[in-house]
Amino acid sequence: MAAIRSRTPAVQGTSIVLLGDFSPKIFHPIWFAQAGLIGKSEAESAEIEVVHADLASFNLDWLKVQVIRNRFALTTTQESHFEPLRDLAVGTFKLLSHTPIRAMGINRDMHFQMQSEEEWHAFGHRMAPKEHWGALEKPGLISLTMQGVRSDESKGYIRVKIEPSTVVHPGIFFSVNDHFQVLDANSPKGSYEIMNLLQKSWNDSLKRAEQIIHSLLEDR
Amino acid sequence: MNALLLQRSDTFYIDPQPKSEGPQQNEPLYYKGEIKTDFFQPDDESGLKSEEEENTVHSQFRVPRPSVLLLLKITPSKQNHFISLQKWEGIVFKVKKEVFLAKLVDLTQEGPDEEAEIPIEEVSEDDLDLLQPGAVFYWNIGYLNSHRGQRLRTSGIRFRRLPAWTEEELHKARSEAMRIRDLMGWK
Repeated sequence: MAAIRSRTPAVQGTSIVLLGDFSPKIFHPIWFAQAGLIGKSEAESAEIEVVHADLASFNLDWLKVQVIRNRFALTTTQESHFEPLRDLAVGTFKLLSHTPIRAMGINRDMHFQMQSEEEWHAFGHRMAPKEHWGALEKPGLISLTMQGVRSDESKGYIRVKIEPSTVVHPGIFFSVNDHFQVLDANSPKGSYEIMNLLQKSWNDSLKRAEQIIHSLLEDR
Repeated sequence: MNALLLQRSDTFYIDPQPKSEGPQQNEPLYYKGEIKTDFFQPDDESGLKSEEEENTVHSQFRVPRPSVLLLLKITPSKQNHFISLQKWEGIVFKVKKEVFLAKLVDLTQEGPDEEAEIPIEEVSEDDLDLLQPGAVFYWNIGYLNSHRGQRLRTSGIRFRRLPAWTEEELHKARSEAMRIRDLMGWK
């Protein structure tokens, strides 16, 4: 399996998803620039899809921002901007520190190109053996989600999803959702607890996600 | 996030009339799948929609208290993809006329800290105001795969942007520094 180990993902990304109570119309690129969280020229060249009381959605060349009333999401597909993604979330809710946030996902996604269709099928069979699916003709793995408990002291779970990639063929898509919850989800007190978790857990979370993905790829 | 990779253009709706009272399998309930936008979906999940789900959506978007109907043309995001070959976090300790000096911490693999002299012209105009002793930046060398299919080997510096420290935070930091100093017995 050395070939897979040495393989880098064809496409990868990271996102931070926050669950809480948000006011989407605040999240305009100009607001981020005025707060010093993104550059002025970045804000001016932002591709704004919509900024509305119920929804804000815009793109920079390295970032996608989508906010609705109960969800705030930042996404990048540029590995060079993983840390700026974290900083943007931290900076935003340092300024909006009274925003109640009750949960967070640090999500890591990767698409890997397989060397052949045989290798691709073999991986699917390994993850979901077909012996139990005799009632189906030509059963194939479309989506597999596995959840594990956290090994740290935080509340939440780790969820891993595997699917055939729709980006590269033959390829495999992995998504790791590292989900954190505040201790008292019924009365989150501002953003402090989650932002603290984000800063504290960021590096470990990304490393763990990569380890999980590579361990699945390399498992024989 | 995968939705960023979809090569299509969609229309989405903020629909004033939800069609039903409960979740329905296979019914498109969200746009692009990057954020779970509808009120039928469990709102306690912080993951992203799966590729399969994303690719079967019809991009309908509902919000809990809709008051308007909007039809908006959304074009696919054109994010480039960057894969880092080498990644450092740097701290500026001296700024000269044409270069700045920085301590570099390797984020790619563990190793000793390094020092580097970096030309100021490497810093983007947006970030020039941030260039001062103590500033933190990220330096990446890697491949930029453009959404047009080109691959470029590039090097980029981006300075950390965080809101200024508040008086309260500075006070806490000073108190903590004094506590550590006392603990170590330093005078």
